[in-house]
Amino acid sequence: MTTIPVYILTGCLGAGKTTMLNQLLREPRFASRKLALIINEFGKMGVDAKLLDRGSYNKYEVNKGSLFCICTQADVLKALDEIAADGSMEALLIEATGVAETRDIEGFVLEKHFAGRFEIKANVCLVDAVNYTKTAPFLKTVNAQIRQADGLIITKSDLVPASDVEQLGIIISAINPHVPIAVAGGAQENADFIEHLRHRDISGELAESPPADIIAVSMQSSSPVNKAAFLKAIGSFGQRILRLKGNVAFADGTEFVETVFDRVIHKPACEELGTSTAFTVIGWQTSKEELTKAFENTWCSA
Amino acid sequence: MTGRDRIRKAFRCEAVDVTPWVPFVGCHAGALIGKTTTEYLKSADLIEQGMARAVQLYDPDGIPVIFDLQVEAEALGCNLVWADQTPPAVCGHPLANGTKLEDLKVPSSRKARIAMAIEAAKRLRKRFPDIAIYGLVTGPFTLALHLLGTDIFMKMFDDSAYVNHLMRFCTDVGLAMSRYYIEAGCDVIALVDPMTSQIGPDQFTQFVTAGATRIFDSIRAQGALSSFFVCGHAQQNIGVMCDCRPDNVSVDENIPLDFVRDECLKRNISFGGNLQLTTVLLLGTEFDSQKNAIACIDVGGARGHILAPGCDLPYSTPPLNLQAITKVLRDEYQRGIIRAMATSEEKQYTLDMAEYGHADKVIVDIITLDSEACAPCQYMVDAVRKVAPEFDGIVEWREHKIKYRESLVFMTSLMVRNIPTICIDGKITFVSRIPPKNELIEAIQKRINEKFLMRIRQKKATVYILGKDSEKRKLLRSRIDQARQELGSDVDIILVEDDNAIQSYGVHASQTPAVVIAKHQLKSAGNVMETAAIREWLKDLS
Repeated sequence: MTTIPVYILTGCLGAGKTTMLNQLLREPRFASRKLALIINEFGKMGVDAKLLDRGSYNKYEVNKGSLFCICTQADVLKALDEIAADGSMEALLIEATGVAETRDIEGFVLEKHFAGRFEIKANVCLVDAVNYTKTAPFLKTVNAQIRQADGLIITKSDLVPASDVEQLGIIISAINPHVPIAVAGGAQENADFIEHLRHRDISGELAESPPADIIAVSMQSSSPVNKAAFLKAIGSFGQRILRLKGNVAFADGTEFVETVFDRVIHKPACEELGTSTAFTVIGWQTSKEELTKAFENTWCSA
Repeated sequence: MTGRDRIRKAFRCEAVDVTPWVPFVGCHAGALIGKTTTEYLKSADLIEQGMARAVQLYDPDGIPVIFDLQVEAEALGCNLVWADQTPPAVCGHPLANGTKLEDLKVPSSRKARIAMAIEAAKRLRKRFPDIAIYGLVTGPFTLALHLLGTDIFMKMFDDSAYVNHLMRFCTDVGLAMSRYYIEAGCDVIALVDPMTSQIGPDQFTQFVTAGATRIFDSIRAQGALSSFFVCGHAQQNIGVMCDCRPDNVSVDENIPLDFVRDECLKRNISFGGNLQLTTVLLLGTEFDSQKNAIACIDVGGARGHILAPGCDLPYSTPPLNLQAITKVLRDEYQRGIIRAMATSEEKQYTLDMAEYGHADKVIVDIITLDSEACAPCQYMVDAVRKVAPEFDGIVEWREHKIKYRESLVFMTSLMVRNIPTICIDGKITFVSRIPPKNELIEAIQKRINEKFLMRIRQKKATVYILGKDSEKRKLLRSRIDQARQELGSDVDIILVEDDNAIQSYGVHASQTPAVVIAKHQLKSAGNVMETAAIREWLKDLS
């Protein structure tokens, strides 16, 4: 009875997991092995599996039946059972859903029922350089997957300024300081990175809820906003404001304000949001109270 | 008290006679009647048949009509992919594929499979007047994800007004579905919103609270009970879920039940959960299932707890596991046993009982919780106590109270699983049944007879006559035959004529005819004995 090495690929929806998986399947050190794939993609029934290059691997789609982690357990366990029983597989690649808790997936693989059959070699999380800061405060698995990973790969770096990639690296490094971070490269580079990762057992560390280090606060006011004070407030947070977006009713008229890291963009007001102030701000290493207080101080009546 | 009454009282956090039991039998009912999920979830007839079978097998206090969170989504234009052993999955999100939110209309009770679900609810209500019927409604956030897909997480930042608009629509759908189920006779409306486990309390408050609260207020105004279901890692949201004012919050094994209990009860909200769906109910044994159920009801306590799995039972869940839970719930003595056996330490330490019951006397062991505290145990002990003297000292009896660890080990070693039980010479003979006097006497007598026969077989003897054929040997043989006849003995007689063989008995040829008597005793059969035991036998011979 041989132990099957397991590679887990996680990351938010649209982060490029399927692209990465296809790269790995073409890369000789994976392609030369008899592979089993478990594809578990939320709400995109079969799409990811169809996108995958045709190969000689055994493929198991476990998103049939439900979108909910707990309800897919039976399917995941069934797939693992079949792979273990097959006896000929030399490696298992799992592409996890973007809303999956990685600890659940690791739990399935390490279930006592499969004792000795599987060994997690690497858990890799892809981080989307374009959308990370938008989704992290709303979808809690985004950071949970980063925390649980053995290595992080930043994708879509060509779509944002280099400074954004650098800042993103700082943020995700703060969330998981124990693991290497790479920017996605060619198939060989990515496979090298994954092959050299060492799996960390951090089940104990995750027993408690992690701090909410990226938060979103929605602000509304019918009072006019002091423009200078508002921009100063943004500046005072420096890199701790990741994004801000919405209408701001300044004394000289309402504008649509959007920030991405330190870049501030002013546009005409969004009519759907009305004429009063209504915006959402995403902060890092700050608190809801600090953000609220800082912006409420820019209301003219304050 | 009927199951329906029990559920109602538990929902009001009033004391109940026993923890109510609601197995969420969804697609599993299809398995019970040999149908695929695809067949089952499309037919009110099959749902009625499947649930009737589930009621027969599991004796529940409450049952869901169906457990399929894609019913509303399908009626609103989501494409589904069907499977044999799991509920369907949404594979196309209309709002992500060009449909405008303004074009979506709250479906009527006749739309798509909603009509079938409501028809099934009416039939179950009529057929099971004493069981609480749960109508399961897709929660607004989960329905919003079905309609828009995961873009919703980006839109929460990019276009929160749109997300709020969408949530209001999904709330309207939930209000309508709740009304349909209540009108069909459902006692409980469960708002099932598992995808809220993906967001934190701030986002929950921003996007979910208002709609969920409206739905629960509406259910209350219509005189029905409400439950808020969530599964997954949603511990962070239990407080804000309670703030929506449901009558009950139901969770799966990802959230500690004691945490949910404390959060709910301080707000006078009942709570449900949290049997382990896969590792125990699907993959575990009956004993695992019973242990898990006991752990849940012990944590849940006497007030406000509904025993349930955290989600739809897997299609292939072994019925015996669920029946074992019913048994442990309905039988307080069975609960006592499982509690006592529930530690792995005791499981690992057992006695070697291979040679038990080979003593001269017949041993009657009565395994009890405690005959002073458990009525059936007392009656069983009394029955044995009265009968034993009739055997004039041949029968010895003893009670093993499993509240003591050594008794528990003894019970486990004898493979006893029910209390009270009578074992005669280590063999389980009467289980949870007080035998009538004659039956008990007969069972003990049977064992005495067996032992007597065994003794006869064990005590075999042989007479060896050493020496070649001669007049003296003939005379000796005839006298031995006569003695055997007079005694009725069945000893074997063997003639040994070979000189070497005669010498091996320590007899010289000149001393023949000679007689050697050997008495045989069966020491073991079918076992490879330890050297220490064999050494003791040899000592007896020397």
